[in-house]
Parts: sequence; C-alpha cells; structure tokens
Amino acid sequence: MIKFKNISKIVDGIKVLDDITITIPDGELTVLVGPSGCGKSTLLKMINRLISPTSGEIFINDINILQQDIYTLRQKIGYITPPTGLFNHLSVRDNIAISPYIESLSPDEREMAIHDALNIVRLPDGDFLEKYPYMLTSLEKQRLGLARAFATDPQFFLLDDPLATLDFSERNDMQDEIIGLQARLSKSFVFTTSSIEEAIKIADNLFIMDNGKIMQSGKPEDVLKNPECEFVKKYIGRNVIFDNAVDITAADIMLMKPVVTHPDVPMLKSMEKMRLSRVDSLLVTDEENNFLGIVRAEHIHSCDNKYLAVQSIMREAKTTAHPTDSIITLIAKFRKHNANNIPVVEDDKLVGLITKSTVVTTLSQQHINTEGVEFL
Amino acid sequence: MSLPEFLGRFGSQVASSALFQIWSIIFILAFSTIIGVPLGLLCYNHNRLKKNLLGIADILQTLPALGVLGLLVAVGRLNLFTTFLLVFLYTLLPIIFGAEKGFRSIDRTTIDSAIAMGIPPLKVITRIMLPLVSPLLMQGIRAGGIACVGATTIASFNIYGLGSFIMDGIRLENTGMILAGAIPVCLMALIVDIIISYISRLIIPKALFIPEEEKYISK
Repeated sequence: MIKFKNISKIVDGIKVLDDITITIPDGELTVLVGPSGCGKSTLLKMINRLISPTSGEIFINDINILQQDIYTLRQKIGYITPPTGLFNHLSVRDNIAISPYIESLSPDEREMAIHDALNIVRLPDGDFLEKYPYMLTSLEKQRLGLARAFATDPQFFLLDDPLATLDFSERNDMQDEIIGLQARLSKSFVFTTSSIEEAIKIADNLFIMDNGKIMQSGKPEDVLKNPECEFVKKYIGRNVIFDNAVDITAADIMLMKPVVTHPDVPMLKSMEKMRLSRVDSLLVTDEENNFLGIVRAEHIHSCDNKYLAVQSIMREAKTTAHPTDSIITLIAKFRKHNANNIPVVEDDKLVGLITKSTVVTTLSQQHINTEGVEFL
Repeated sequence: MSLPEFLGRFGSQVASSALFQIWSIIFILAFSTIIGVPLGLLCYNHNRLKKNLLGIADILQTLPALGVLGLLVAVGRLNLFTTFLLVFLYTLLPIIFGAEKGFRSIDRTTIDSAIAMGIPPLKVITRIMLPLVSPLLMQGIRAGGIACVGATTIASFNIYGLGSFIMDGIRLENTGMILAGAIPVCLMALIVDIIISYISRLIIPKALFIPEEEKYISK
C-alpha cells in the first residue's frame, strides 16, 4: 500500500502538486490520469524518490520512504518508461543485467532471472540477448523495458506513460498485455497517462488530476457515471456512462468519422475504399458535406460498367437520425426499417453514423434491463 | 636556402622544437580532457555557467589567434605562462562543449531509468552517461586537438618553436626555414586527427557506431 500524506511540490514559486492525500491499494492497477502538466508524473516519481516533495510524507506499507536506504528502496520498485529509457549502448542482456540487483546474483541465477524476465513479456532469448536496442522494433523495445523491470521481481511497478510513443494499434495491444501481466502477477501497478481512453480501459482504480490536484477518484465505472465536477465531466467527454438510457442521444454514441465517398467517384475506387476500411457500404456526400445517399457493395456487384460514377447506383438512406434523437428512438428506427446502420444528419449535413453494434455495446454498458425494448 | 640545406645546418634545433611541441600538445590535450569532461557535466547542470563559457568561446573564435597573441605581446607579459594559458583555452573550450552537447543528447528518461534501478550516481556517470556521451565528446576532443596544434604553433613564436621558424623564414625570405616549420606542423595536425579517430573506434561502444545502411532500414 502506498500512502501519500499532504504532498505538495513547489517549483520556481509554482505549485505543481497541491496538498495531495491519497492511498494506492495493493495488487491493483491504479492509473493517474490528467492533461499534460497536471503533476501526475511528478507524483509518480516521488514514490521511488526521483523527485522529493516540498512538504508531506509518503509511506510504503506504513514505512516512511525517507527512512529506507534509497538504493534498496529503488531496487524494490520497478520503473518503466517509454522505450527512450533503454540504454542504447548496451545489448539486450546488459540492459537487464546492469541492475545492481541482478549483478548481486550468482552467474546461474543471473541467467535464470534474465531468461524469466524475457519469457514473461514473450520475448525470445538466445541470439536476441546480443542485439542492441537500435535493432529492435518499437514493440520489442517496449517489451524489453517491461522485462528490465520484471527481472528484479519488485513489489511495485511504476509505469510513467510507457506507451506514449506507440501508434494506435500497437498501443492497443500493449494495453491488453499490461492488463494481462498485472492480472497474472497480481502485483501493484501505478500507471500514468494523459489518454483518458487508455485510463478507462486498463484501470482498476482511477485518479483524475488537474493543476496539481486530485479532481476525482474511484472505480472507472463510478467515475464515468457520476462525474463530480465540470472538469471531470469535460475531460471524460464522450466516455460518460448515463444512469438512464433515455438520456443517451445519437450524438453521444455515433461514430464521428464514417467512411464517405463523393458522387463522382467511379465504382471501382469505391469498392477499393470499402475493402480497405472493411465496410460494406459508403455514405455519399458532396463537397459541403451534404448527405446524398448510400452505396452498397451488393449494388456495385450487380452493375456491369464499374467505371461509372457511384452516383448512378446510389440509393436514398432507408432512414436518417438527428443528433438529438434518443437511443429509444434509434432502436425503434433500426427495428422499423430493418437497417444495419443509420446516418446521423443535421441540416442536411452528415455528422456521424450509428451502427447496430454501437447501440448493442452501449446498452450492455448501461447495465439496464433491455427486455422491454424488444430489440434483440 | 633550400629545405635539405637548412635541415643540414639546423636539423637538431628543428627536431628539439618539434619534440617540445609534441609534448606540449600531448600534455595540454590530456589535461584539457581531464578537466573538460567534468566541466561539461557542470555546464549541463548549470545553464548560467554554460552561457558564460559560451561567451568566452564566442569572443575567442571571433578574434584571430594572431590578434590575441599580438595583444598579449603589447601588454608585455607574453611569457611561457600566458602563452600556455591561451593554448589551453583554445583546446579546452571545444572539449567542454562536446561533452556538454553529449550530456544534453541523453534522453532524460534514460538517466531516470538508471537512477530508478538503484544504480549509485558515480556508476550512473561511468557506465551509462559517459559511454552515451562518447561519440560527441570525441568530436569535441578532435576539434580541441586540431585547435591545440594551431595554437601551440602560434604560441611558439617567442620561444624558438616551430612557429618561429615559419615567422622568421617569411621575414628572411628563407624557403627552407619556412618549410622546416610548416611541414612538421601540418604532419602533427594530421597525426593528431588519425590518433584521435583511432582512439574513438576503441572507446565508443559498438552499438553507437550504427552502420549507415542499417539506420535507414524501416522496421
């Protein structure tokens, strides 16, 4: 258990952290989240004493961290950064073996520790041990960063926005992997991120920070259901969970960037676009984003001259929705028109798209009784 | 007088002057490196010190070395101490800046990671920071070494070093005398360059010498 008691930090007269008192429980994945500059990283680095507080105390398992030997304390805490934290001049093996804890082991134990650590994060050993960081892919570097921390078998792991440098899909994979690792090892992870989506996805415990203060804390579902102040409400934005399903409108759940095409585009190109975006229909809009209609893959297939513009086979949408339509209205429309998706249109302009699966996912998150809705 | 003629008469003087300059270069370069690296680390940690040193370096690089020497002569205190101080400054500053640039090129998260592992500070410097600094530091030492050859030549005008052969040779229109000073000086600059790049190969970690073609392979 990590306890922060009245922690403040002042740098050049600016309050970076303002009287923070929180407890981070054992064996869970705790996320400190907030816009950049909110102090989450500073708070994290105080745990392994990379930064010292101006005032206040920190306790790990009820022992003040100032009373422990600083090197022993740090060796008991795994610290994971983005891959820039790797030592570029050292091989994979030495990146792990340079830790004083690993150095203190016998040669056999050392090899075991390195082997086990790589194994946990699913990295190979053998020749891989002799590679240098510049030879690794970004995912391998990320995993090596984790392995380096796991090798010393610490009680706590501090993860300082480790996925910041990854692209979207790699980031998604690593998030899943970190969730899995934490569950498997059941050790305490403290994670900082500036992405609220990432925080909601991985957290057992959420602390939302702004301007050096904790704005709200709790389980992600509770925070999403009851944002306590304007800042939190704005920050969690579209991720909010509504108490009452009737409150959900099309604008809250629609896909913001549906796949669109221009009426003059030839069918062949439109087919290619559908294939690449993995959809079976495209919404047709003009230059001013006015919504014109829908082209479906099956209509293109049944047309002989595929060099014609999609305009020639475009159909009108079965139905459209307005952003303020409630989810109940949407369900009724899906049922009545037997549609798979409904374009959201406001003043003739296309603003989004609602798919049947979005509605289903949304409803399942609300934990409400859908029996009366006669939809599924 | 031709070069062989001059060397025939004054060969031993040329040799002893050259030897003196070689020892000066080795001594000054070694001393500059020893104090330049810690000063580079200090500059990295203290921005104000860096600004002051940059100011001095700026002035020194703007003024021609010959002009500075003239000033020292005019002030009348051009003795062995002041000349060596001048040479020392010309050598030291590129080394400090090479080291500072090297320290600055290390990502903060790298240093944080090392400290967070519980590695003691001195070991963080010797095992993590210095190897990472070495490519840029060696560039600084190379610049300092070449500046040192030039500065020792100019500084040796008044102590009958190789520089004085060139200067007097020009004044006396004695080609052999000019060449007896100029050729060893040029050779020294080349040899200093070769030796430093050889040392670079030895001490810079292999991984930091990334072969050009591998750098651009997309992964």
